[in-house]
Amino acid sequence: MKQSIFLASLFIVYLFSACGNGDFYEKTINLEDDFEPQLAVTAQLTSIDSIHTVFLSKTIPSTDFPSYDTLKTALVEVETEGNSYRFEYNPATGYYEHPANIPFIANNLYRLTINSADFGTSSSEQLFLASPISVLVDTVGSIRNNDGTLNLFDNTLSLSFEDPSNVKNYYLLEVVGTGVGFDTYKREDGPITTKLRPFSDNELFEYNSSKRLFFTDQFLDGKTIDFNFNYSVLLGWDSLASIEVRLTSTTREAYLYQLTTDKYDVGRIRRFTEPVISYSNIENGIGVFSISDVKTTFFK
Amino acid sequence: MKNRKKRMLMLLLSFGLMNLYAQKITISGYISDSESGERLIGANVFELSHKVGSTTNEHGFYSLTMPKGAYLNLIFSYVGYQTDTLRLTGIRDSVLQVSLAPTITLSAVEVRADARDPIQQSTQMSEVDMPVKDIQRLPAILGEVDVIKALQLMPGVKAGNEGFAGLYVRGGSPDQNLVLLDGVPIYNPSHVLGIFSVFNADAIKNVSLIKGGFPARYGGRLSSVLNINMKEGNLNSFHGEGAISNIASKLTLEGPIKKGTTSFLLSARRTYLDVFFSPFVKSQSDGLDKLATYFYDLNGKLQHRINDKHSLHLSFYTGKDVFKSRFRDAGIMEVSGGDLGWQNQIGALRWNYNINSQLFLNTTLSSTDYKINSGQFFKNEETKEEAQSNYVSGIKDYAARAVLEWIPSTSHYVRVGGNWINHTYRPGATTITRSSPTISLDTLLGIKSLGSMEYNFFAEDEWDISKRVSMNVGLHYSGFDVENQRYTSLQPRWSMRFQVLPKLSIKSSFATMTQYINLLSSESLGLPSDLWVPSTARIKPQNAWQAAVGIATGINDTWDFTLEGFYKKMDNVLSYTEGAVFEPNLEADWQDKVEQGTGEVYGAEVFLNKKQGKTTGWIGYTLSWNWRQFDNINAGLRYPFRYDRRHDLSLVVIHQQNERIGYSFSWVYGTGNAITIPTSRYAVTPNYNLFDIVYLPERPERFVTEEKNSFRMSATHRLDASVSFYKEKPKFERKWIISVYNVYSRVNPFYVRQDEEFISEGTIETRRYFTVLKEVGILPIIPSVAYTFKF
Repeated sequence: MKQSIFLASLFIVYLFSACGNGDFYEKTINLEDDFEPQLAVTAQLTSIDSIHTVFLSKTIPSTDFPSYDTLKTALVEVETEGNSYRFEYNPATGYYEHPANIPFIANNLYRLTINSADFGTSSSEQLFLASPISVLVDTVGSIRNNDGTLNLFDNTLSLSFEDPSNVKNYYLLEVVGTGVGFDTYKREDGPITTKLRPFSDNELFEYNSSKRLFFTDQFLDGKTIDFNFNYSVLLGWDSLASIEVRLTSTTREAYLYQLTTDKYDVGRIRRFTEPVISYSNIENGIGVFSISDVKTTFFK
Repeated sequence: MKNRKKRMLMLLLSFGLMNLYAQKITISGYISDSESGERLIGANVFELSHKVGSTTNEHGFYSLTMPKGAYLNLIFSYVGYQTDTLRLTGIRDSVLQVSLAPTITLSAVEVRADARDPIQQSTQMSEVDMPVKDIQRLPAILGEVDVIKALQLMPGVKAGNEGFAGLYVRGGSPDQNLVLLDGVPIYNPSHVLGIFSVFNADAIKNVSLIKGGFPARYGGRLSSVLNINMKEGNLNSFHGEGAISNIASKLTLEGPIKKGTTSFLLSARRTYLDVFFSPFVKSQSDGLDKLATYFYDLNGKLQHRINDKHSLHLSFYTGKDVFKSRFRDAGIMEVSGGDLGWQNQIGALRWNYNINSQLFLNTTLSSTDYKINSGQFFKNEETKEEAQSNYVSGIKDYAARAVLEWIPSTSHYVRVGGNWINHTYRPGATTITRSSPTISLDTLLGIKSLGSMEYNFFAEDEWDISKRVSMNVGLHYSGFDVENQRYTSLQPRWSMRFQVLPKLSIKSSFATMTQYINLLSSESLGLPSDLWVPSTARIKPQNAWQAAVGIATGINDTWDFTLEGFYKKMDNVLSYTEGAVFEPNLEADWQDKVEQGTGEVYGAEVFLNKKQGKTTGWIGYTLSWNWRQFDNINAGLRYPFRYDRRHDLSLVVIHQQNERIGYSFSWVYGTGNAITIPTSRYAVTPNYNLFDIVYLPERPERFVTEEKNSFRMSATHRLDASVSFYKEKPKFERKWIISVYNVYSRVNPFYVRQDEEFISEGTIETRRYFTVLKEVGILPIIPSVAYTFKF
């Protein structure tokens, strides 16, 4: 009798459990409880900016619908050598902006300060590092098609530059194409400028993301460097009019920010990627403040 | 003059030794099962008059040295066997081969206490000995009892994931366990991606797990030694046992080839998951033509007792997992598919030599071979175009080991020995073939095999200093030669017992360990595709030291209680770097993808065990912290290991109602695993609402993962139950086992899935994506039925 009761009980439990639907074995993670927003700063100033911009927003739980609050009333300043440069909020663009007349002087320290009602004072400091003395880019093989347009595929470029000695440099190499294609912002065909995807087998590049090549001067200090790379373009291009090669010399902090950002983005697409921890150099906030020198070479 | 003094001293010493030995006699021999002739491990021999005792070693041998001339009253005992007594006058060394008869009637209803040393009298701490009979009475998953899952119910031993057979012992990772089957290492002790272990309980004689205080005879791994001995085979009569369950069948046969001298054992197991699930999966999957998912095991053993002094034992194991899928697109006449498989093969030849009443030599030659393969293929039957890739990786060892055991008195048990292993690693090679009417390609990509030599020497003594104090002290020296680099390590070990009260002991231990081979394991995977790689000129060996202290008390004959605290520090542990992608990427050196850092584990374990009566069982609880730290992971800050588990509780109840029916229940609770997920996100441009990232030059938002393993998955808890119906006939026993895994169907998370979902607001251009994180459980309530038989 006892056996029968036991078995019957098990069977009933099983039946009840089996009645659940397929979602029964999935549980959505709720990150909203106890979430505390942080100030998010994107302040990547470069020597080739037509206007310097800083963008401020608030973090939201990663599982929230992406609707961000932009901070519009914060006090944003960059200070160096006793001079202060205030960034003004531009409602038309959504950025805090300053004309590109802040003098970037090698080895000067720059300090970004943000005061906001929601988060108090946030800050970050960066050195402006010596840039490569010269950058020369040449082509290997034909860069033009027979009709005179630039070849979209299988171009090999050769880059040569001299690495400054005695300074630990961090480099990003990007390729920007200009031509006619699908404009993502306007959602129609027209003139576009967007990044192409550089590739290289050179062991110098410690990480090869979908957007840029990363490397340090660990093995280069004070030397003139030559290496080859090619690039690919996505569908959506009708013709390519020019290629701009950008070699950015930046700080360790900005480099790590870009590196972890790129690795994270790649990991989202490729499964079985080890987790990447976001790098930030903002005190009392998250994001990045960097001042980088960029050398560019065009092919038209 | 000097020489004369020396000679005199030698003479005196010789007289002294002769005198010492003249006053002693040694009783030695083997203790065996009277029915099967199987030698019993850990059986007790106790002499009542002098109150001295000993236990049989791993090969059933005992030796007891006592004063000469006394009247001896010897008691031989072992759990589940009738005690035997023997009276004799100890006038000379004697060899006594003892056979103990299994208890029959009492055990069916009431479990008797373990006849081995009471827990407070054993020097070894941090050890789990599980009789196979107990393992077979625990609830089964899918009808299969499993040795490793049984061990997971012990304090200090964790399963990595719900329902899986991984072993995480005191915070170590699975590659830090030395898993020995008949003394031969097994590199991947799991089947079906870890749901089952490779150990077929029907072929096993003994299971022992050491979590700390490692005796010097063991080495090569940091965290545990799991020692599993196969049965030798019945020397007296032919027997068999088997089981049929809803996923597997198994059969074990054993018997004499020459009665009393030579025996065999053969045990086979095969699952038939594919037979039942293939039709269901095919009906759910478009184009699936064929699905094969199974594993098999084959254990075998031959034993030959040449005489009382010599015996030979030949054992082998082979097991393989197979996953095959075939898809067919009839419209374009294409066939494609994928294969994943792995297999272990081991073989060992052991020679036991009982040199004299106090010396025992065990020599083993062995080989172990572990390999995995995964492949994909494509064929167009119309164009005759074919493409195929096959990835193979593995490790192969040849080893020789010799251990000499010397038992000079009841106070000392000395072991000295050495071990030599030749490793050959195949970190990965891919064959790519492609053929069509116009193209033919056959390419081999990959890293060449790499060899290394590992060797060790050890000496240890189990020393009973007094009735209340005993210790095991030893030294283990190991070396490793690889790529013109030599690593060496001297590892002191000791464990100590101080009996403060007749039923209460304080124990302590200290051990250092070095590990020269590593498993590259992705935290995001946990598949058998993980790679075994050696320490190299760049990758340093892993080192650890562990200290433990605790109390052990046999409260009474029925209850045991232990409380242990431990601290373990590990150096040069390996982890993939941030953002490393696990794939058989043969062009990249695996050494570029890894980091070496430190690990720190500490905690306390409580174990309350009821070992006698109609109802037996235990409660095990572990409180622990488990940290890792690497220079280039998590910004150099320490972080919790994925399987850091603050609380881990297991409750086991085994109830034998009568001779015909028995129940068992186990309930487990564990803190959720620590994982890394993006906890927040932010916009980096005002254009954040354009989420078509394919075309945008930069992603307009960033996801933030602030700290590694800072998110806790939900806690896991689960109740398993089983009921067994026994029936015994004159020449046949049968048992029906009905078991239910996860009785209340708790959704225990197995992994976290990150999905991108979107809300469509009319057109593809305006759709808005958002991220959903879901904990996914894969093992719901699973009832199963098994029929076992024995003849």
